[in-house]
Amino acid sequence: MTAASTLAPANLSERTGLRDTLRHTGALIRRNLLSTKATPEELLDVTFFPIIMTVMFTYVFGGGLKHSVGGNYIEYLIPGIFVQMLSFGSIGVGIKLNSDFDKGLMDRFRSLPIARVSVLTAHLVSSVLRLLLASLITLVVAVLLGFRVHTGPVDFFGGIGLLLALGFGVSWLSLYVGTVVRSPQAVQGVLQIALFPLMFCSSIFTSVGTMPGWLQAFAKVNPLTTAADAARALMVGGQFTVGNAVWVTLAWAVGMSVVFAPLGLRAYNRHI
Amino acid sequence: MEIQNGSGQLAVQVEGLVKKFGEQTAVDHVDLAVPAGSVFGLLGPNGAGKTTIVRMLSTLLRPDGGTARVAGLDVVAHAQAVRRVIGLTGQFAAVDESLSGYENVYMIGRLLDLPAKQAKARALELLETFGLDEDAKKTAKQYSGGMRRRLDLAASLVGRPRVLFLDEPTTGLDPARRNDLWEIVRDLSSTGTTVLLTTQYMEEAEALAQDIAVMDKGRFIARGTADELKVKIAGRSIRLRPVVLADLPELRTVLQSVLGVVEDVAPGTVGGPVAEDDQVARLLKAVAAADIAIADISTVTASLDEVFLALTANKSAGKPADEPADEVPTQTTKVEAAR
Repeated sequence: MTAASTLAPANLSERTGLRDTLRHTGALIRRNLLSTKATPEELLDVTFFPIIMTVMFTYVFGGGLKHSVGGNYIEYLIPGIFVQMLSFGSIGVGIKLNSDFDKGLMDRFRSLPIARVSVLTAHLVSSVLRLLLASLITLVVAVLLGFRVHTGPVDFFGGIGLLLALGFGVSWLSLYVGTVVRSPQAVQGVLQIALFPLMFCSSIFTSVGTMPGWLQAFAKVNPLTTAADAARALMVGGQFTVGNAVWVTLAWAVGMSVVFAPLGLRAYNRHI
Repeated sequence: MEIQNGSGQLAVQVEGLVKKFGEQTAVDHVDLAVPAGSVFGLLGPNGAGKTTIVRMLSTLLRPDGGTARVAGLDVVAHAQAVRRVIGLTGQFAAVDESLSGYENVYMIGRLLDLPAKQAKARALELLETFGLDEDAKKTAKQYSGGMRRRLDLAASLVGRPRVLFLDEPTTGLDPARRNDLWEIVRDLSSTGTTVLLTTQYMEEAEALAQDIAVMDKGRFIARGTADELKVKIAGRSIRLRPVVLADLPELRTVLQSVLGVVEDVAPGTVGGPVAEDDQVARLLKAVAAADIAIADISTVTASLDEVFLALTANKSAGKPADEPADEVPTQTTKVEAAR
């Protein structure tokens, strides 16, 4: 090792070039993937959780619920399961970011000459990759349970893309919460408390029409309802018509990103 | 571009540095100059402000006042440039526990723009240096506390930093591991790396640092080399015992004239405080001139522990009444624990 005792000329640039930032982000995504590989149980929330929900609702509640949704419960349920999985699957990214602060890793990253935001972008990209994997697993399980896609590939993948966009928006919310609360457990607590009522008071598991009037009012404006309705129209079609659910869902997805990305970035950059 | 900016060979240069957290002033107008290539020790109890200084110098915290330069670079205006020349090992090993030791160090290499091949070579080299090569593929979760510290240190050295910040690097390590880490710091220093370390242990500051600043409540309450601190604060004294007891009165007169003070420290032994460096030589000359045969001569220096206690005790004695009164016992406990 030859460390210089004299002070040599240094690179005084304060900006990190785009190519460098992309490479740094790549190194950090690799870190996230290796971390997931070493602790695959981190994927339980996007693998077993949707499977359990699917099986439970299909066989435990499905018999009772199917009459309210037109007879074929699994066709009704699966698009909703995608919505549930893509929103709940985004909790993980906030937990990950919070742990980086909690365990002092962020100090290490921040003492390196990299763009600070690359840690955040890497988490975001990893989150979308997680959601993609989860979508694939959910689809395979759904098909095994008898779910069939009745629309074309364009509609189906359009539906997945729409839900991923929503998951992207929820990921920003998750990153924001992950930056402002004090512990990884708190991230999970806050987001689950926010998402559970949204999940059950929606059209994910049953028709909004079966709920009392005051709840219907909430359920109809619930973004998870519009997302589930849009997903049904795009994946199953038939009796489930598109209406304006797709556009409303897209607006929610974009809106959440527009609101929570600046909030998240601000909180992140101010975080000590 | 030459970046010395008139700071000469100062690796760290701090003037009037202030950091406040709400009402509390964590760092209160601190000045500091660390020559390049030296080891500087920041010594103080918990909450003294040591970590806050390190966090400002390593660009993690923005100062509220004053200036700080690392390798001649302003930590606010040239934060990224500072990050290119520093390494930081914090109080808690900042390693990704779910990654292997190798992957942790490799990742830092990639983040420091090393090409994949070089990042790999550098990671392997450092893991070997720190005796982690056999466990390189284990996840850091499986590492012991000492191994994690070494991994953390390896990660902070990937970029061959010119200035290394070590925040309480041996807290929680057993004595053997602590000695290993001391050796590493000495090796780094011998290759020209400037090291600024914080510690609660006098022994550690004395073992490693050429210069020490003692910190309490956001301020430096004393600074100097370990020897200077001992002399300056707790004093150094000399003791003499004449061969013939009859010489004692004359010896007492000699001491009185040279040192200004004389004490009977033991039967047949007199002594006095040494305040100036040339007093010992002058005293010996005077003793020789008086033709007094000396049987035994010794100098006594306070330990740094005593210095530290003296410093913090003085401070407690002189502070306002609304401060908690248990300050001194708390620190005594800490000093005991440090041994």
